[in-house]
Amino acid sequence: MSDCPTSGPAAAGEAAGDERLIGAAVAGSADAFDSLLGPFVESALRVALLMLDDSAAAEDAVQEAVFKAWRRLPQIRDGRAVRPWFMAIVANECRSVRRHRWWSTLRLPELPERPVPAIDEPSIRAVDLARAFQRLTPQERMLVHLYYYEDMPLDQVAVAAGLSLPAARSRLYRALKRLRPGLEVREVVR
Amino acid sequence: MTNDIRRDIREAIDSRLRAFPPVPPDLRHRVVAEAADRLRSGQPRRRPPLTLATAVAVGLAIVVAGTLLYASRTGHGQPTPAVTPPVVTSPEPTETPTLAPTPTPTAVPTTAPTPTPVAPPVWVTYTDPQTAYSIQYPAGWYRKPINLGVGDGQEIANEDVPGPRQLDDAGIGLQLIVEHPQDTRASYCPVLTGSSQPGVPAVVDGVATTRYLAMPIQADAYADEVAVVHGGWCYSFIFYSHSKQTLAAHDTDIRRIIASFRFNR
Repeated sequence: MSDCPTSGPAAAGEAAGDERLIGAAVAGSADAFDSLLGPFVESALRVALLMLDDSAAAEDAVQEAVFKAWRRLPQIRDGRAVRPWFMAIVANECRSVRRHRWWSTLRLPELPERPVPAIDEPSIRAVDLARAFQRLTPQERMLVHLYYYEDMPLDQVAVAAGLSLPAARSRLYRALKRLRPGLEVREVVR
Repeated sequence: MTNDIRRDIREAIDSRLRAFPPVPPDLRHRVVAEAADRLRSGQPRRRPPLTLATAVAVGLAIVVAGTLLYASRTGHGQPTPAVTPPVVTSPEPTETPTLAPTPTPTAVPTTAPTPTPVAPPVWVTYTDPQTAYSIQYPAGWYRKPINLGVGDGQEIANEDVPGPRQLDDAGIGLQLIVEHPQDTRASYCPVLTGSSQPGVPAVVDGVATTRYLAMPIQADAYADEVAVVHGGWCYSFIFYSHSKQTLAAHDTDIRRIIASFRFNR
């Protein structure tokens, strides 16, 4: 996995296409906006679920993030990758929801009892890892999720988290050490 | 090695995600369509309409407040043990009616409240049995504990509704959260994370802090927020409303509630 996959001719062409879509979306085209950000909505919901631990709050956060992203489209800088930029808005929205807990917490009585998640793999190792993942901070869960599950390059993960590249690498390292204390993480976070 | 940890992490995340309802198939279309509607109309998000129960609760609150005001004006409303606060849900915490607290002098440069020559309403003192803090609030307001999974929480609002979303525009609530930093994450305590909004100085039981006014939470929700760390514990006061005007109208109440707070340890 490269740290800078946004460089190169293919990425340049993609950026040019994005710029055309951005222009159309700013002009009010819902189709253009959907083409631009629609593919990332589902992964945004996964990020929000893991950060907020509440499906209704996560959907609200994604909805709000999509709205804010559309309004802020004119601010997107030339050549800037759309996906990490959008994920940063999603993460900020989740942080805002978490900070104002009253808004999401008071929704809990309206939700049905959540079933205990089923762990397919019976090994204790997998169960321990799932529990350890849940003990990470929301930001750590987001970093691990974006890097390992959504396969985002580390530089884009850093943008989404609002961190410098070294800080993102360092925090991802710490998160992995908490997941697997004996892990040789240098081989993992490159 | 790398593939092993990646596979294991993906499995762990998958198992976590399976605890939630599946992603709605129309999610992408729905969020984009709603965003387009909101952009076109310039309207904030809709919230649940005023329910009959809310209307009744508001009516009752007005009647109770009016009765108390009348009693205090005619001299028959002195608080005695016979005066029962409207809501005392648990016998464990100490909760006593009292006269309005005299706020300790604080440096809160907010707009001066309009001096109205009315007698102070009866206030209720809540003392938390676990954390020992005490706080006072107007007798017509409703208090209930809230479980956030970490720390200890109380919600106090002037309307008896299930949650903030059900408040009407005259509704205001306070969520008071007490958390130990070891039990939670730094992001929980605004005083630790700071705020993007400018604030004004405030004092909580002698501890200087900052009060953030009318912070936008969502398109139709605002909060006045104060947080302070004392003895390693984070105390967060979040006063919320759908209306900025309601927050401003209750500024005197908010300042009195903050001024009445005591750590007691």
